[in-house]
Amino acid sequence: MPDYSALVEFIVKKLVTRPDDVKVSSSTDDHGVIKIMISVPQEDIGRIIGKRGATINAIRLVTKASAVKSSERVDVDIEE
Amino acid sequence: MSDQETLILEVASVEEARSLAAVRWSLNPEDVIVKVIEEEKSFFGFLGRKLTVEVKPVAPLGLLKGKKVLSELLDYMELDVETLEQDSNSLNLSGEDAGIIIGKYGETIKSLEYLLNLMLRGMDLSMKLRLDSDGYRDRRVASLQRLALSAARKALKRDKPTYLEPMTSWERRVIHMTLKERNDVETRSVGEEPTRKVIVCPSLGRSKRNR
Repeated sequence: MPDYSALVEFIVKKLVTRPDDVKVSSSTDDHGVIKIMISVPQEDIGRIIGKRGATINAIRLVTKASAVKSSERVDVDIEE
Repeated sequence: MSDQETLILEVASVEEARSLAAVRWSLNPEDVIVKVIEEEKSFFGFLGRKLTVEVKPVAPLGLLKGKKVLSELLDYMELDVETLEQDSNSLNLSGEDAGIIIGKYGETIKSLEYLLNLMLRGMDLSMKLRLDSDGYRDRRVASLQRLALSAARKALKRDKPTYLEPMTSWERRVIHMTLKERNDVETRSVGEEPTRKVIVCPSLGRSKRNR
């Protein structure tokens, strides 16, 4: 199965102004959903969310697509 | 191709030129073409030779960089698809997992294209790349054309505007182009990206109006 954190980190690092400050963590909740959390400096949050959430939604869709083959449930969110 | 995309180097071998250029442009070494312009043989054979070479990317730099970034991304996704240059600004994704890449109503390939272009912008490449997957775009165009015609029928039948789902700019363009020649309906786009959508309306003055 894909390393979802590594995938998200790869994308996010190329979108922000401070790639070295990007942190991505992963946890699994009680329902077996893998939750990927992105943490970036305040000034980069807008770049990850995008206009009307377009960027974070695209990151979610791409991550979910990578989970199709292993039939895992995965979601991506931003640490506020 | 701009001048910035050609390098003149003095090197000891073609391989050296290839790897220098690959590092400079962050490309794979096989993505550059090396042409020897001049070969200077030293009197002292043991000092080796000196080549003056011209190095160019095999395709526009933005396209090759896009291909590299996308291939890495697909590796992280662990999907079995190959990325190949299709034309000067588009990449084709082909392979067993192409269906996953396209996604429901093409939403995954749209997201990938959107992210790829954002990532390239971060790398100072202004070029806009398009993604395709074994004729997906052509099939999508055909289905958008059918959608446009059916929206026009519906608008005329009800004598009120028909709203289509949010679409990307090239998809909206297909709808506008399909109905451009029609006198009985008009199209326009409303809303903001990424939920901008097309409305198909009966033309004013086409029929009796309520007011």
